[in-house]
Amino acid sequence: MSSPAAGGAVGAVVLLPLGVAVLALAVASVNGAVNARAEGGAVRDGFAAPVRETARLIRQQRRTLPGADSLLWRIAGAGLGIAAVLQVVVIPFGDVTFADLPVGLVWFNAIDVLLWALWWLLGWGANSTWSLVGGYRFLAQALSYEIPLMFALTAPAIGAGSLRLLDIQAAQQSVWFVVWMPVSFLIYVASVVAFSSWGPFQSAVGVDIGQGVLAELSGIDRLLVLGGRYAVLVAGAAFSVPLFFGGGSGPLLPGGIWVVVKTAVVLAGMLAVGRMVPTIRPDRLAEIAWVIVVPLVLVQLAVVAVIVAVNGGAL
Amino acid sequence: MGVIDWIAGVGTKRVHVLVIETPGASLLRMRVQAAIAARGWVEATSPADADALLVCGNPGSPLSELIGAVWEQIPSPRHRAMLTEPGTLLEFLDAIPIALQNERSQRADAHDRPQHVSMSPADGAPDMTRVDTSDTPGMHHSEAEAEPPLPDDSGHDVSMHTDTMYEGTPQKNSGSNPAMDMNMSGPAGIPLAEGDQDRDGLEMDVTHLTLGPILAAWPADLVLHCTLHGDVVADARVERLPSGVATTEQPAVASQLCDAAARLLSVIGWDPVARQVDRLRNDIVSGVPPQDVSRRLNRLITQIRRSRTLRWSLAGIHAPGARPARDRLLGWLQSAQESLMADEKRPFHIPVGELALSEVDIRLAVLGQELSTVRLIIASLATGTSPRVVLGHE
Repeated sequence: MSSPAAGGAVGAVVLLPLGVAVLALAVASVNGAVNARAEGGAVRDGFAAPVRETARLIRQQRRTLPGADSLLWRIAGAGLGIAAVLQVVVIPFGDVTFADLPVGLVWFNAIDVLLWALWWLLGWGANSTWSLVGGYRFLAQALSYEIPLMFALTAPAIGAGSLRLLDIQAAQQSVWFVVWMPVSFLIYVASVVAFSSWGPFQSAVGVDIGQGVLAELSGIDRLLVLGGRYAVLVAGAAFSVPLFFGGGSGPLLPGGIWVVVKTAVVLAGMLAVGRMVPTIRPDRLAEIAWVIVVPLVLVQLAVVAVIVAVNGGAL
Repeated sequence: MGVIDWIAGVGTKRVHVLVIETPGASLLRMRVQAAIAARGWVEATSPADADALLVCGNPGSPLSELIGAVWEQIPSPRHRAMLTEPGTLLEFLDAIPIALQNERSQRADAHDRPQHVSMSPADGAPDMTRVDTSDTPGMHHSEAEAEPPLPDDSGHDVSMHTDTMYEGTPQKNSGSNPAMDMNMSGPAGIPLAEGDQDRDGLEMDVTHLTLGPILAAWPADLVLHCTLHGDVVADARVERLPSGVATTEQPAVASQLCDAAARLLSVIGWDPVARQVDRLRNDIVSGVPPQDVSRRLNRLITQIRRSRTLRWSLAGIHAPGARPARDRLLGWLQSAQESLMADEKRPFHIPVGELALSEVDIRLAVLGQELSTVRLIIASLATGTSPRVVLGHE
């Protein structure tokens, strides 16, 4: 094995999970601080909340229930964080990429479908009605977001004429895709929040069902799921950078830094908007997803296709 | 030891407290909530999420057994206390992190917990009988397990099975005498659910689920024994727990209204706004000047009224004969606002009378509804509020 490849492997195994974890912790901290402000508590306590929760959950006992499908339950809990890292592994940081897949975009899509299984198994494995209801809620929600998301993902692919992320990034040298694919971008971001069961799309972990898929989790298992949720959110935000924000392009700073900065901006936007909207119930979501959002994204695709045909490539 | 102590210290700075209100002790519960929030602690939403169990008031017969069962589900390290007097509240709270950090006693507690109870048909049968025939309203969870918590112990989970009920675990519907026709082929000997046609004519598993009385954002005195087809409530039996303390001081009207609103908002799933309404209630209970609270309340009312998502999400949700949930929510906050600003010149009149809702009303309101709608309807009825104040009495 040549040494650059070995270096890449080390980077992928050590750097990426670490980077995802650090960003996830940062998002959780900011979210905690905003929550603390809303509650009238000390903002500093809010910032420290994720660290305190981590210490607390590390000390806590794990639980199981009679008849729990422990294997699948634990796999699902640990899988979220792994899925997040697997998504990030194909993202180009400037010209550097840990895994230059010719079908990087499809890879992302495959992992996001894996999240269906993970969330549902998390609900199923506990052998508790509340968890199971949570799992089914996630599936109902996924039926609404997945088709629009898949269409939304095709827009950058059509724009660049490639499924390879380096090509998609390169096609945005003059104009970022977010400028002429805004509908795709919005659908993409909403879907990322939805597959993380977060913000307005958190009905699978809703308080009304005792936190649904989280209801029976404690200790390290709960930590993995709570952390994994933020990790998936971070991964989704990071993936929007090569798709819609020109990847690592930017003045002065190296490409890798720009990717992180742009990711942070997308995350901040998700946090801010997510807090303004109450949870959308899956049954109501299906209505707009299929009646309004799917036609909208198809129009977006038509516009992109026409532009590419007339222009002979991306703008 | 340094690292372990450090983790213990950091890990007990944000304690999750499962607050259990005995019927009638709502003021005490609100004081506890205010004190918890002031420390930057968190209210637990389920036993699995809790470090400490704090019972407000002296629970009567059915409730105290349930609390015992819930206690068994709380993972170690854990601590429990019963609070009857607001005066000792702060001492009780101070004791929690100390107890949680006490490694020796926590370790002993974890080892004394039942490790494993077999679920053979012989000893399973009485349990199952108890499950289906029991009148005891249940927590929504079934069992805790007891794996010793500390790293040097064996890493695999042993399920345990105390004498608890099975609410929360999908269980079979086996007619009136479950012990007779039990199908023990399910996981851990829990009988499999049987099918039946739901309201849309689809064959669905029939399961039983008891909502309350120990459930986040749920009225303290209400127990709903549901028969579910999938997540549709096919049948329900309503039980009210007797109020343990009839003569205690009641919370201010504004704090009751904010409490009801915060519960509805958290059931809706608008966490950031629910937190802010929670804070208003805490402030009213802790005696923050009303002008201050009222100003923030005004802003929140505007924000809630403007939310199109909320309007759309709550459309068509109401109990028969009651105003829509969204109107009630806004009405409560509006009334809270008026009562905060009331003085001699503009006195505030809240309708006072007996609680209007009978068990039959509640049953009819939830029949044929999905679980999420049931939660919204119950929260919008605010049945748990003091009987002296009928909320949104039209």
